[in-house]
Amino acid sequence: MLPVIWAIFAITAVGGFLALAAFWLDVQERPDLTFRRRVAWSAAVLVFPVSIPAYAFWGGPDWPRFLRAVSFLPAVALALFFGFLFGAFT
Amino acid sequence: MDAATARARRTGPRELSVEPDWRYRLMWLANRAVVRALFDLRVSGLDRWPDPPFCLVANHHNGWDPQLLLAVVPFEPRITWFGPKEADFSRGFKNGVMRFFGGVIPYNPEKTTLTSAVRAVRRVFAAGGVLGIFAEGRVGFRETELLPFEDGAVAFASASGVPILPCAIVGSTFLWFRRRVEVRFGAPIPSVGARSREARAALEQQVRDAFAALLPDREPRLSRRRPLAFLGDLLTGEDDIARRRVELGE
Repeated sequence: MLPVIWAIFAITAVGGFLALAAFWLDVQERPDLTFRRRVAWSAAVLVFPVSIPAYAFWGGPDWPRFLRAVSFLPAVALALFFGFLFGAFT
Repeated sequence: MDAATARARRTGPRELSVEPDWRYRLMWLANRAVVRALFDLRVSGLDRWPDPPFCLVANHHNGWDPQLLLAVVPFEPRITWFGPKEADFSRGFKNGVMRFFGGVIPYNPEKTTLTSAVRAVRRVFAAGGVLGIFAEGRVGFRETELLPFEDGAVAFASASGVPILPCAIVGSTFLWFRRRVEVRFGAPIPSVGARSREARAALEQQVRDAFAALLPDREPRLSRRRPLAFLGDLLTGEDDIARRRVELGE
């Protein structure tokens, strides 16, 4: 089971980084965001496991379903990371 | 590093990249996977491709255009690109990537390296290769219009007597996630015998007419929904983005 979880972790980690980059760059390129909102969403990157799905669903970026699903990858990767860290998978 | 080697690095590759190698296979596969995942690509007229050698002439809206084309063309024949326009090809990440994969003939914007670039083009045709060239020489921002052509495309094709294959890329001025982009190939235009200035001008007009038939009649209406709009400018130079902002009043 462990190799499967490692493989899932590797995929979600790579996808998570891509989602993080997509979130950040999308926020910077949104012409409809006010300066304050842009700063707020940019600062929200500090809590990225929550803020990326929140942005995807309620931030108004018009992301299609696929990207909305991808927005959960950082959270999944982080959960798996802590799972490894605290010995949840043996 | 001696002076000649340093100069050769600045000038860029002049060896042939006509035969597909493992690096090209890697690039072709990775590019196809990434570009087709990011954008909704449609292609028409692939059956009009003549037997190589020929000169593939495309319009240019965005830094993604070579990647978009590469994502729809078959693995063989390999396309060798005329460009990029670089003063020093030995510097920069993008140039490093192009150096690794090959298949480009860079030239200096001041045209100081044009002679060796033209020789490299002739070698591509002599080896039965395909030369890809953006005939306008710079990025244009109107989907319905072509900028004036630079001398290269028609001159190269007529000097070697190879046909010109017009290719219109429609929808790449503004790109976002899953944006539909159409790549339309026209019928090949023979260039044999077009040696005089008048004959080359007539040939250029023929190519422009072929493009006119491939380009849309009106500018595409841009959707309000543009997810991941930053993708569109990832491969476009800062100067082109600034020019677009001025020209389109963004």
